[in-house]
Amino acid sequence: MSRAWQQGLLEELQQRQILDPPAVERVRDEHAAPWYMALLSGLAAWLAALLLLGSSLITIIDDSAPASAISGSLLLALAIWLLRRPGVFAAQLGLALSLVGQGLLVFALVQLEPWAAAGQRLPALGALLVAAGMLLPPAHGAHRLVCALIAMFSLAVLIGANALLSLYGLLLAALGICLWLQRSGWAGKQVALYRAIAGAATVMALVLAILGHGRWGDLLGLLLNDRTVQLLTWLYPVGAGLLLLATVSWLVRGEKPAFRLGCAAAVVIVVALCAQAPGLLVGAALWLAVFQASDRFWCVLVGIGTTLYLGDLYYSLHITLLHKSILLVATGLVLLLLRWLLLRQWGGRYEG
Amino acid sequence: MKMLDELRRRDQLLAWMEQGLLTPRQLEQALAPQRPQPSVREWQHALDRLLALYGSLLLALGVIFFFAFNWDDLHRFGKLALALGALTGFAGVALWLQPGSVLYRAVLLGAALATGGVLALVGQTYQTGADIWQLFTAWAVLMLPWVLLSRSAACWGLFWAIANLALLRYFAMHDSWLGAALASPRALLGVAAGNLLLLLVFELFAGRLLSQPGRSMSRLAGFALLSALALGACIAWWESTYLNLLWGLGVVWLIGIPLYRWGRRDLLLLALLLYALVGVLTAGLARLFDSIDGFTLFNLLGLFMLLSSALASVWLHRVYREGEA
Repeated sequence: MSRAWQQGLLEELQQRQILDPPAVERVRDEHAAPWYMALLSGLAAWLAALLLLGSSLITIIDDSAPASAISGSLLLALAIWLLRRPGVFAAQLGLALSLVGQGLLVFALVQLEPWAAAGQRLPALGALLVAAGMLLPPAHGAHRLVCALIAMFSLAVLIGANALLSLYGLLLAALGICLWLQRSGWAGKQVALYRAIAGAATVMALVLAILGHGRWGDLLGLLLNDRTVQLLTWLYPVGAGLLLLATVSWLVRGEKPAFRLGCAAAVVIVVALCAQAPGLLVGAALWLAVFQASDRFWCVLVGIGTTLYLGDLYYSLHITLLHKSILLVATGLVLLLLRWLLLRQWGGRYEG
Repeated sequence: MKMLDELRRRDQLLAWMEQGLLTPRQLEQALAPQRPQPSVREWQHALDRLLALYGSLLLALGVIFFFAFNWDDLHRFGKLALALGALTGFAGVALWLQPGSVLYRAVLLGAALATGGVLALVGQTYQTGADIWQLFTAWAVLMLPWVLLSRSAACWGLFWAIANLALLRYFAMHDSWLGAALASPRALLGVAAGNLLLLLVFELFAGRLLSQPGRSMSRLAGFALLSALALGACIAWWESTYLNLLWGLGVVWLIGIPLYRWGRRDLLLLALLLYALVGVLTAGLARLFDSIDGFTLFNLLGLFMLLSSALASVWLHRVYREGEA
């Protein structure tokens, strides 16, 4: 079990006199549970809260916006109190209540008839503000991550299905990459906030890539003229390519100029090949950043997200299957060639 | 120390610093002489695996995409030659490589994927009349030699996905798996039995089937087994034809909980078993009190779920902490 492995690490830190016995005890007591335990207890707490509150709230709220707003605010206050309590279940129940409370506040905005003309925008703005506010009180990582995700998703709804959404996807990827690359420098009270924003930006960047720039092209074709569409369909691939190039350049900044030049050339070739599958470029840039941050969980998640993108690519209509096939075969061959070149370059210094 | 252990150690130390359990100074001391970022050796190790895996994956997917395009201008013999050439290429390269190496495992993953491409092409060209479940079954069977040779978790993961797809498609055709409102008892039992077999195989022979034995395959099979049984067991409170699934789940609990608690410790499978128990008991409670009014029933169910999952959570935490002893 991984707990035994962590115990070994704690013993080593104690033997090397980096941690004294009380500090070791504190680490043992406050060490976070594995992600799957948090997920399962969170789901159970969420369902229990829905069952307990749902029947009461439906009776109380009826169709009244003030009743929804008051109930939502009370639940949020209760959630903030619970989120400060020790124990996994209190934390997960706090998360569930926070989500129900946020949902009720947004529901209150939906019920405001004078604002109905604003469509989804007013509820999205409300969700953005409430989720951003709930990011600030002290809470465990899962709550902050969910709030950051809601805030970023609401902003995407506010932006709408237009060209700015592709820029937004790129900006989120850039934000995630910058934060992950600085992980060892995170310090102070804002650490949990940085982590939540980095995680949420990574997920949203992958989702926006998976949902596909190709589909945006189809959608934009209905709204804009051909020239603008042509320009915008290149915006995302070019941005994704620049992002990968910037990430690799930053990572090899201390190396010899010849090696840096070689890396840049390799990236340019990959970018040229994957211009029609920019999700691969975004995934690659994010993976390099999370690996530099040494975060194993996010390494796996970004890998899965990038592989799922390949599934989306199959159904995307922006290029033919033959074009996609050539693109994938060529990129695969380039990656294998790159590996061969790197192994040669490393020579005896790499044990494999 | 293995590369993955180094990465894990650094990740853990950084996480403790982020939780305020270590100061930056203590982190620096704990990591010394290394830095908080991966070393050159770790980068080499990661890039070696990443480029081999994604290079082979993209190559194999490119072949599959090519045949899905169904290019009319290319004669069917040409297509077949290309598909078999890709498969032979992957297999040939594997022969030439050192067994167990990173690239060896990656090209065998490519061969497993290319096998599906060849089968799809044969079905497409000669209109064999085979159903999609037959394609997936043949794919799963024919990829098995590559999977057994590669002994990699990625290849076994692909086999698990294709075998489950074959089962799902079979029951979709014969038992309205997704067409009907509820899954049929036979379909759920079939999926459960298939995954139980895989779980047993990996519990007994993981050391021989995987070059780096881990719990991922047992967990995947266990998750699918419990999902099918728990869904059937929840329905069984209302439909007596599903009772076999409830009994089956009962046996799985009786064997699984002690096994994964004291025998082969696996907190994830233990958590899945416990939360499946919470879900099935909540459904049973809903059936028992379905004559009372909705408001009371929802509150009763919510309270039961809250308490039972709290108990499960506390117990799991205790087991988790005992892991250090």
